[in-house]
This record gives sequence, structure tokens and C-alpha cells, in this order.
Amino acid sequence: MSVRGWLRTLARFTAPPPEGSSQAVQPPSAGVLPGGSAIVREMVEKATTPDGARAALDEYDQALRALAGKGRVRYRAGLLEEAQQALQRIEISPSLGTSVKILQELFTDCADVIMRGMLVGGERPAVLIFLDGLVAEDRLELSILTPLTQGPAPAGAPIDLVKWLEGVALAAKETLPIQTIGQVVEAVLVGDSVLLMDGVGQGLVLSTRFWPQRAIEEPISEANIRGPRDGFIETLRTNTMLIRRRVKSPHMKFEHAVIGRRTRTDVAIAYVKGITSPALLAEVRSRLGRVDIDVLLDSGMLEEFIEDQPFSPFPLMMSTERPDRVVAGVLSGQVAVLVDGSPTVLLLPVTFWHFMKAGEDYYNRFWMGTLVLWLRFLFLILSLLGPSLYVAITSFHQEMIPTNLLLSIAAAREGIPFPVLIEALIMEVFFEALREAGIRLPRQIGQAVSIVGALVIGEAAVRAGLVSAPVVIIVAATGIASFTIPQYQMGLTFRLLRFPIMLAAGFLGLFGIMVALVALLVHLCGLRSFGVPYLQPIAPLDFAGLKDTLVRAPLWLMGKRPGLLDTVNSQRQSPRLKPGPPGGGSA
Amino acid sequence: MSEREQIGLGQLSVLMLGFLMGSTLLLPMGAPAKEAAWIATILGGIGGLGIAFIYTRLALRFPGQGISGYSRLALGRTAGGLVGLLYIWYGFHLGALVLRNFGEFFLTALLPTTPLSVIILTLMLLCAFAVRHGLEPVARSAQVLVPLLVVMVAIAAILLAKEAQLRHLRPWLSDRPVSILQAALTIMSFPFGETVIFAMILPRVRPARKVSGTVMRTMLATTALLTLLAALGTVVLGVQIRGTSRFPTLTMMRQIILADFVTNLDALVVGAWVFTGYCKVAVCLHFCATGLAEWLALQAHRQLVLPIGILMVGMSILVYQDVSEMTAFLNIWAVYSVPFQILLPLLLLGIAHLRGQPAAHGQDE
Repeated sequence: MSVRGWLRTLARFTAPPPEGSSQAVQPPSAGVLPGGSAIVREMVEKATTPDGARAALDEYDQALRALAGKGRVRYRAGLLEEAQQALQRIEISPSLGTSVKILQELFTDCADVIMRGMLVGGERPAVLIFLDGLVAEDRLELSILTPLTQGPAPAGAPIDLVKWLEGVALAAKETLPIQTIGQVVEAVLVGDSVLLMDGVGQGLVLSTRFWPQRAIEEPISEANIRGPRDGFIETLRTNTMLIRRRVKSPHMKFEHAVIGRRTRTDVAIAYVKGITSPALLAEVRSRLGRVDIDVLLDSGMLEEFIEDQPFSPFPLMMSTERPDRVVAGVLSGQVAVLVDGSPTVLLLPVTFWHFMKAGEDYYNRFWMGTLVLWLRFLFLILSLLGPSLYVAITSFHQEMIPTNLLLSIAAAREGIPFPVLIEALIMEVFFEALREAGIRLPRQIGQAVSIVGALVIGEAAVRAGLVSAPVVIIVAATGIASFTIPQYQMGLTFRLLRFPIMLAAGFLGLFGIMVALVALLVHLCGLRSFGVPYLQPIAPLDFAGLKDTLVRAPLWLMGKRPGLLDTVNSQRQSPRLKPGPPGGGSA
Repeated sequence: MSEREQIGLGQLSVLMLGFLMGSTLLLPMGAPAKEAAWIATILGGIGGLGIAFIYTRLALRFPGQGISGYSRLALGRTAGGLVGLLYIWYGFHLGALVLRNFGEFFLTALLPTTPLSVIILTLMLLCAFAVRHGLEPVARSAQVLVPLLVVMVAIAAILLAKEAQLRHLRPWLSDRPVSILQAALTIMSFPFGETVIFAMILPRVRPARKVSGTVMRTMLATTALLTLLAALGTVVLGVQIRGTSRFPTLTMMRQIILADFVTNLDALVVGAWVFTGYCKVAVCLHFCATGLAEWLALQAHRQLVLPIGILMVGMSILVYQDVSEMTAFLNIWAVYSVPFQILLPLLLLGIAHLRGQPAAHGQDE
């Protein structure tokens, strides 16, 4: 690619958007109230806010300000709940104007809130409140607005109005009567619509939730050849559906929780009753319960708050995008934590060995599964130790290299200005940068970068005498090796750990490597994930667990669930499932 | 005692195996017995079993107590305290010696131009890091490392088989039996008798009543393994070289040549020796830290680990002038160890027996 081509491509990404930008949005003035329709405006003008409601609103406001760290009230745990309760105390007034006025005040400057005024049956004023974009518009119009505005007027006492709405007037899928302003706010914010009608003193929640979502796709970080290809997406409900569709049992539970003071993110704790250890479940609940944060955007953020050892470089819970993996996990006694808005689900507790498995291992023949597992172990060691061993051997223990090889390495290193350690570090850092750039850059540029990078690093650097060819080979092999680790997070950990071990190798040779490895081992031995030792079943040793750790045993041999999870019910399947030729030859 | 300070029987077993293999693999063990080094090893192992019998009896008699705990119970506050302090010194001295052994070994085998103090300090930092993590991680890491080590020794033995010449083992009992006995006594105190410092670990093993059997079985297995190694050293190197080499195992490993490509494997194998050194020093350090904490009636021993470790480094550098002193000290060590390994435990056991303890268990504390 020429330089000019480069610049052109770059320019495409930095230039301002071409047309359509002239009709830019007007800067909004402060204090825009939602609901511009004539009916609403008229009724609000006449209404006044009662004193009780006024006091509750002030309290709510103050509490929210304290959450932001300002104002007279100091922040303390439970403040948010108090604020919510203040709203819950305001009852929906039979006078529609009053309720709407309060809601307008709460939703001031929320440009996406719509308050649609109407006259039901041509006589009784009503307001439908919903969030624009978060509701199914066609459903809203067809099943709510049309029957209300064009249907007959209600006849009968006001006490029956809610029944009339539910039973006769509306064709919405789900309805739920509510009593307080707080409930209205909650319902509107999750995408439901709320119908308030004059003279009723209650509201009616109508389920209209709908938002655009990504289609279910194959997970990017965990691709496979054999086995299901669907992956989680950003919507919690879809994700629970993906799990539920695979486990058709009422014992598959999804407990609901809300985390995030402002984001109010839905979190689901998924487990199978009768398998998962109750103690583990209680621990998960209590750890989630103490997370009092402002923002929760992804399960990765949650992870940091509920780990056992926050300073460890190792991932202490598995994050996966594969529903089949989550199902296999919960059915072996793990607990899954799903976070709305995140396509990655946390599985816990985990051991180190979980990260060596890909879901596919269980779909292929067990010989292949075992072989691939061993291959991963081998390349795991290579990815961790490759450059370090090269540095240690070439700078301290040359006698270990066979003479011919030693001569060619010496020839390749002739004229290289750096010590081996520096040389290897330069290459490693370059390689990491290349990998990172490849992920972040837009696809068109990313390709160019990787080509240029490969050329520069592979060929030019060697020819220019900056680095020697053996180092390039070692770094490239290490790079490939690190991609064989099936879990991205564990790959990251090993990328990170490579550097301290390289330094140890550069200073103390093989002795340094061994010391670093033993230190790493001690760290791993001390790690626990939700109380489960990280290296189990190797250390502490558990012979029964080894058949799913060091090898991938045939599925008909794995009659028991893993012992480390302390499951309520340890028997997974019938004990004698080994298949054979007809006539029952070998059972 | 927190949960992280408890280990299982299997863990005790591998930890002890790692400890016993520790520096034994480095030094010319049983060299005075010449051809009969392996016989001396067997005799030494049997003697070690006797020592183990005494201290496991003590541990069973005073469950949950460490060394200064039961010496105080048996001998009273002052005398018992003194004995406890002596034991802490013994563990400290042992740790320093082992540290020096390994330091010299790595200096010779891997890093000839690196200062000795750097090597020793690095090794100590590793051990302190591990012991601060708690006993359980140490034991678990031994669970991973010791099997690897045994496999490596086995592979080395197979690769060395073609270098072996059985005639090196003859004549069977060429020398005076006294010299064999002497070598056996040395082996009894080093390494087998040194397991007396497991006294701080035994009360942390569950289930406690099976400790004695496990210790005995481990001793037997190690005796077998070390006998094999002593015999292997003799048949591969011959008495002459094995007797004069500072680190006979290293010399032996240098003989490995495989397919003309894998040569000078010693550096790699020697790297594995870090494991055993780690096992032994970590146990010593743990003994000193927990022993001192018990002696001072402290709740936690973790804060003591690093200071003791640093002192151990200093001690290990001061203790010998050079390697020849180190090798020569082995014989003195055997005598020096007798009170700690045999006399004092016997004394404690005898007094406890006479006083009918542990009926009085806990009244003194």
C-alpha cells in the first residue's frame, strides 16, 4: 500500500461527517418538560403538587445528590433504597393532572420520555407514558392507542375502571395495576408503558418492552468446528432463554438482582437446584449483595468486585460467550452470573484446568480431546517459557546447545548490538503491540498494519542487524503457542507473566527461571476461586478428578460430577453406559 | 491455627520426601563407606525410622502442640523454654547450612560468575514468599513438584544405565565395618534425623492419628530411593570419582548423552534441584517462624518469616569459608545433631511418660 493510500484511508476516519450535519440539533435549553401534547399541557397547568408529594420529591432529590457526593446529606449504604422509597410513598392521585405534574418534574430534560395525552372513548382524559425507542411502536399503537382512542367510553363506577381497561379495552400482552409514582418510574425506565387515567388513582403497566438487539451470532473469542454456534448477546432475557432452551427443567433457576446505583443493571444468578452446593450459592449471593457501585456495564466489572484474591494475575472466574459451556457448567455444580448488557457470562468457581478446556473437547472423540489437551499443555509451557529459555541458555548455559546449533546462533548474532535479553524484550514488546493494534484498528487498516508489521519485524529488522533471526523465530513460535490457550483471559495472563520470567532468565539464567516458576506455583497453590483450590484436583490431589483434568476420559466413564464443587447430587448419569456391539458384549 | 495451616497425610508425605531428597542429592552421601554406600544408606534409613518413632510418639502424646509447647509441658516453664529455644536454633542453623549447600551448588553448576549472596538471597526470598503464603500452599506445591522430581530422577537413571558398571560395587565389604557404620550414622542424622523439625508441622496434619504411619512409610520409601541413588552413583562414577567429587550427583548427570544431540543436560536437571532446595529451606523457615511464634506466644507467625529469612541468609554466608569446609562439616553435624534428634526427644518422651502426661495437658498454658 502506498503512502498516499494510507493517508487517504486515514483521512476517511478522521474527517467530519460530510452532509446532513448542517441541520445539527439545537442546543437544548434547560428544564424541558416531557409531554408536549395539548391535553397534557392543559391539565398540568391547572394542577398543583400536594405537600406530601412535594416533601417526598425533595427527599428523593437530596438523596440522589448525596449519591453523587454533593449536598448536605452524606453518602451511606442504603441511601439509594431510601430515595426509591421516597418515590414509593407518593401515591398516584385520582386527579390526573397532579400525577402527571409530578412525573414531569421527575423526567425533566429526559427528551426520550413521551407522555401521550388522550381522551378515552372521547370523554375521559388519560395519559400514556413510555420511553421512545424502548417500546414496540406498532404494538403500542395497535393494541393500546387504537382501542383506547377509537373504542367506546367506559361505563360504570370508577373503581371498576382498571378492570374495564384490563378486561375490555386493552389488547396488551401483560398488564399490572400499580399504586405509586415510584412504580411508574421503574416501569417506564425498563421499557414498559404506563397508562394513567383521570379519576382512577391507579396506574396500569402495559408490557411493551422492545429494543433493537444484535442477532445471535457465533462467539468471536470461542469459535469451534463441532458443536453449537450460538453465542450470548447483550440482552439478559435472550441469554437466559438460550440457557433455558437447553435445560428444560424447573430446577434451572435464575435469581434476579439489581446492581449499579444509577445503571440499575439486571443481574441473574443461574444455577440448578439439587446440584449446586447451597453454601456456594449463599456465598455468591452475599458477595453480589455487597457490590455497591454506580455503574455496571459488563460482567468484567463485576468480576473485580467478587474475586477471592484481587491481586492475582490469574482469572478467578471463567467468562464465556457460549451457552453450551454455561449449561455444562451449571449442570456440574457451577453457578453462572449473567449481567444485562454483557455478552459474557461468568462461571464460578473455576480451577486452572477449566481454562485448558474448549467446549469442543467434549463433542469430538475422546482420543482427539485428550491429544488436543496435551498439545495445549505443551504449548502453554512454550508460550510461558519460550523466550526465557532462549535468553537463559544463550546467555548463561551455552554448553547446553549442541555445537552446530551454537555456531549458527553465534553467526546470526554477530553484529547485533544488544544483549539477548534486550533483543528478546524488544521483539516481544513489538509483537504485543502488533497484536493489540490488530484488534483495535478498523479492519481495513488492521490488515495493513499486520502485513507491514510482519514484514518489518520478520525481514527488515533482521537484515538491518537490529535483532537476530533466532529471536524472531522464538517470538513468533511463542505468539502462535499463546493462541492455543482456549480461553482469552488465560492467554492474557500468560502474555503478562512471560515478561517477569524473561527478566528472571536474563539476570539469573535457568536458576532464575526455576525460582520464578516455583514462586508462580506457590501463588497458584494458594489461590482459591470461591473457596475452591485453584489447582485442584492436582494439588490437593483427588484421583477421581484426574480423568477430566490430565486426559479427557470417554463420556461414559464420567459418571460423577466433579468432586471439587461439593455438589448436592454427585451422580451425573447411569454408571454402566459403555456402549458395545449388539447382544451386549461388553458391559 | 487457620484452615490454611492444615495439611493432609499425602501432603505431609510429599513434603517430607522433598525435604529428605533435598540436599541429600547434592552431597557425597555415604562416601566414607566406599562401595558399601548403599548398605550404609539402608542402615541409616533404619536408624532414621527409630528417630521418627520417637518424635511421632511425642506428637501423638501432645496433640496440637509444637516443640516448645510440649517441652514446656514436660519440663516446666524455664527448662522447657530453653529446650524450645535450642530447637529453634537448630532449625535456624539447619536452614542456613542447607541454604549454603544449595548456594554453593548453583554457583558451581549454573552461575559461576554470580555472587554467592545473590543466589542465596534469591532462594531465600522464594522460600519466604512461599512460607508467608501459609503451610498449605507449600505442601500443595510440593505435591506438584515432588512427583515431577521423582520422574526426572527415574529418567536420569534410565539414561545413565548404559554408563553403569556393576564391578564398581565390588568388593562388597572391602573396608572395615566400622567405616560403614560410621557412614550409616552420618546418614541417620543427615538427612533422616533432620525430619525432627517436622515437629512444627505434625500437629497441623489431619487426621492426626495416622501421622505416625505416614511418616514411617515415607521414610521407608525415601530410604529405598536414596539407596538406589547411592548405588547408581557408585556404579556410574566408581568409588574414586564419587568420593572426591564435591557434588557427585552433578558429576553423574554430566555423563548423560542422548543421540549425540542432548548433551550436557545437567543444567536442566540442576534447575530441578531448585525444587528440592525450596522444599527443604521452606520447611526449615516454617519451623523457625512457627516455633518462634509459639515460643513467644504470638498469634501469627507471618511477620517473623522475612526477618528470620534474612538472618538465615547472613548466617549461611558466614558459616563456612569454602566448599571443603562445608563437606568436612558433615561429620561434625552428625555429632552436633545427636542431642536434638535423639537425646532431647527421648528425654521429653521419658519425662512425659513418667509424669503420666498428657493427663495434665493444658494445665500449664
